[in-house]
Amino acid sequence: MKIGVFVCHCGTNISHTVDVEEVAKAAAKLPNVHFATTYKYMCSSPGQALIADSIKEKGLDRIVVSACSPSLHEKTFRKCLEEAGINPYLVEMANIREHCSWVHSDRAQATKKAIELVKLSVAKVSRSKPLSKSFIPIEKRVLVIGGGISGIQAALDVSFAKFPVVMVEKEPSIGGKMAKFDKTFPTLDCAACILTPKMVGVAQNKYVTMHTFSEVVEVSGHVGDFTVKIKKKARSVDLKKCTGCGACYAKCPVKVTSEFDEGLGKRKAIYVPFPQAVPNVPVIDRNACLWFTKKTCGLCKKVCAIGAIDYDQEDEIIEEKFGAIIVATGFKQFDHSVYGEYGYGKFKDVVTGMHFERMANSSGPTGGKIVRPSDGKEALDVVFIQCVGSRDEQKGVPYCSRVCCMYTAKHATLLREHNKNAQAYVFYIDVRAAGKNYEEFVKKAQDEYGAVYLRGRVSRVFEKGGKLIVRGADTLSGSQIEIKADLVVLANGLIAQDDATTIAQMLHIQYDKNRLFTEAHPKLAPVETITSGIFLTGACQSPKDIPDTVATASAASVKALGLMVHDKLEKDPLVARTNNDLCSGCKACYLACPYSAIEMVEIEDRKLKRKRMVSRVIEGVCAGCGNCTAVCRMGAIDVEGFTNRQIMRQIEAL
Amino acid sequence: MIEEIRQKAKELLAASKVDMVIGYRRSGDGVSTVPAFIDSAQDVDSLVWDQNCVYNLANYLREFPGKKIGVVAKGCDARAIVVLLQENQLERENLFIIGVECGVTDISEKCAACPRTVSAICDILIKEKGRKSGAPGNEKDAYAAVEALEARRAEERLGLWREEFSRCIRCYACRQVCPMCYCPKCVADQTMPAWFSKATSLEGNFAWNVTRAFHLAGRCVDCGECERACPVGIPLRDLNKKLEKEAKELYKYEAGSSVEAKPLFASYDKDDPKDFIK
Ligand SMILES: Cc1cc2nc3c(=O)[nH]c(=O)nc-3n(C[C@H](O)[C@H](O)[C@H](O)COP(=O)(O)OP(=O)(O)OC[C@H]3O[C@@H](n4cnc5c(N)ncnc54)[C@H](O)[C@@H]3O)c2cc1C
Ligand code: SF4
Ligand code: SF4
Repeated sequence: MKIGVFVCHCGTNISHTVDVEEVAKAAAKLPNVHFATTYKYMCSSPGQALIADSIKEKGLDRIVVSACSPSLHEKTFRKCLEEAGINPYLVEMANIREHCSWVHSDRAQATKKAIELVKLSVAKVSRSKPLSKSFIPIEKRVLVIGGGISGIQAALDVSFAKFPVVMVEKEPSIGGKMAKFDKTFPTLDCAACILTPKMVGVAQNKYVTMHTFSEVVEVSGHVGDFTVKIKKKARSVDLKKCTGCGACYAKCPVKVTSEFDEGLGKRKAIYVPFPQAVPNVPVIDRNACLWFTKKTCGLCKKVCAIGAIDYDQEDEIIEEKFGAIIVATGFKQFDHSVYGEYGYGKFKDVVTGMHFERMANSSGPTGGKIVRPSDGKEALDVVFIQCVGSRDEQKGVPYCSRVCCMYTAKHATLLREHNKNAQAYVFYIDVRAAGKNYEEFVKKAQDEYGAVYLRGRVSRVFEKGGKLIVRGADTLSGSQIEIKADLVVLANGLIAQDDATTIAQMLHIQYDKNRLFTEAHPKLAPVETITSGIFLTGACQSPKDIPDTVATASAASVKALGLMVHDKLEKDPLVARTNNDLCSGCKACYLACPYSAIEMVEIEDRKLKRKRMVSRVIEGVCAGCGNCTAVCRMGAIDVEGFTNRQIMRQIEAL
Repeated sequence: MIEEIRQKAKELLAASKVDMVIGYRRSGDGVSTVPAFIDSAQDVDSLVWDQNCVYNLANYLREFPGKKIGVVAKGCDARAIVVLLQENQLERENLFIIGVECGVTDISEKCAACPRTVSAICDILIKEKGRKSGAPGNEKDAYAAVEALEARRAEERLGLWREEFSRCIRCYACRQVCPMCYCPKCVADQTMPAWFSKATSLEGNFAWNVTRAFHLAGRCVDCGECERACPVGIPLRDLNKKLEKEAKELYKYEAGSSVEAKPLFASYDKDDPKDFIK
């Protein structure tokens, strides 16, 4: 073994405090060290040439670079070794800058410490093994989970690059929440006019396969090679045969409340959720359908001329492979039943923002009229209450839901547009309108549409003489006020979907205390997750408006496409490895691995002449974090590049 | 109670519900007991049950992979079985646990402070006659010895343990009797790397005893077998109890209380105390 030690001055960064010549002299005397020298800038081209030449001339086979942090230049020196013809993983860096010269002032002491640090690196590199990079082949297909505006945008972006996309949406139609809206802030363009073309674009795209009324039920594998099981729930209507003529739901005698209309309207037992639904193929609600509940009726089957109705359809599970996954499962509205003072559930005329959207929508249950659900009369005085569930650590979520200030301003505007005599009152804590043209939009609602903004909380809503009395404080004037309202609209916050944690666990991605999916880095990796190959977009990560949702969708697509353009992925060999002879199969590592990179497998133990369980690291997933090594009592699982033997040798060297 | 145990054992063996019953039988000296491995219904009469049934029978279960085993389990044995199940070492469907409500009648010294005399997990519970069912165990001063140690200065404690460990002859009897010491190759025997000296030097002894204790943190069920087996009388339970106390106070974790619980060291919770990170 011939170790070469190269001590860097780093200009004067190191040499100012550390006697580098002294370090090199001491290094030369260490066991197995064949050559030691110093240079002004080791990372510069001449510095690297010095290393490369020494390797060739002196036959060095392992290198210690005593310089700065490995996070800065380890890669540089690995490359240098590789070019000089020795294995790039036979270099160790002794950090005598950040760990020494920058944090000490006493030259003699600092020099002593630098020598110790070099000693450690020499000890470690003497136990290093040549390692080689592995490659993971990439399945060139992308899975998008969720067919809201974020999922739609992501699918379109990926398909534009001509890579196949599969979209899984749990509802019978794609579109998400946006499909329910009338108009969208801040431009007030009609939601359907901008969304429907995109929905159709997905349906007609030859690169996109849509599975609606479907759910992802199992995910295994890793970046480049995910295996996903998708459950296609029985629709009871043949997607291929149906022409969308609508004869079936015209004839269906069963009426139930429509989820899409937030309970304000009715739908049939066989239905499409809304007229622009994609695919425009009905679904049978088996809990309501007379055929499924009582084995009677069967009208839809009779009227369907092409025989698309199929009562015998069953749930089907398909399995597909993907190289990357984009998660776009969106949000759920906060359930405000915890706020008894607002009287929701008790008074029919207390509704949520989503109800207002449906009423404002001309193809909605009221034909675009803002009415009192109690008697169907047009609502004139409407009180909006903001921050319902948001910014409330006791009863709701601690965060600001970001879009409610804006959609309330939109509602106040729409109210006046729909009825010149209507008046909006908005109770707010403070208006958050940070966004392009957002502040202007809110101002316009006040100045041009006459919305009255009242700063304060509502203490009670009660009924008196057929009207709702909203009692609250106006903190600006310091007075108590009461408003007689026809309708009260609650601006419910945006929270995680009910199944968010299940989805997260299935995908091995993290979620925060609010069950929102966590990005890999809040600033520098906002659409990545800690699991490579899985990306986030839209409101499943945090409340977002449509512009932000679309932006993250495109960002996530680019990240996924970044993988798709490669045939294989280079993988650092610094991953964990199990020693089967030592492994007891206790599962500690399997449970502790934050990346789910460990699986338990059965092996044939020749000595014991029986089968037993051991852990096995999935190389493609392992991030080399070392959690497994820390929990393994047996010392059976080791991270390459940081093996127990290397570290033990370091301890012994001290 | 013994009649009920024998009856159950007979029943299980006769109906081939198990391949073997592990219990206790009288040893040659006529007083103490040794583990009994009974595979025929005719032999169940050799089973005994009294205050001499000290062994932790959980220790033998791993030796019969794939076999169906009936096992007589005191409170501590059952807790050990729970840990072994948590750690993937046993298969629940291969076990029939004959829980015995062990009288607080001092099977050994440790019983005086045993909080849970009833099996945490069992398929049948055989009760002691005349004892109020569900009566709590002895909570007596479970941590008195630990607290006495904690009250002393660090140097004093170090001196004390040096003295204790200097007597260790590295016979590994403690390891042998511990149901949790099941590693295919103990770190004490490994050579690549050699984690600590194998010789009976104070250094090596210290490393061994401390490592043994660490490896039991959140796993030791305080069956006390190690201390009982130690030929030179090192108070090993004091070390185990200290770690048990830490696990309880810091993480509200009690070894052997639930099969579903994630093992202490394999789990992470966002609310775990972090004040040790400075
Ligand atoms: C009342 C209200 C009004 C708003 N008005 C505006 C506005 O005017 N302008 C604006 O910019 N923003 C507005 N927003 C915000 C807007 O709704 C969001 O920005 C947008 O809907 C986020 O899109 P998304 O695709 O992330 O989520 P979603 O719209 O929630 O879509 C998620 C989709 O994923 C599906 N899904 C969920 N879980 C699964 C699963 N496990 N498997 C398969 N599919 C699943 C859902 O069925 C849904 O189709 C408003 C929000 C509210 C509440
Ligand atoms: S966006 Fe506005 S209304 Fe919504 S929580 Fe934040 S401040 Fe309150
Ligand atoms: S922690 Fe160690 S012994 Fe347990 S399964 Fe993992 S590698 Fe094997």
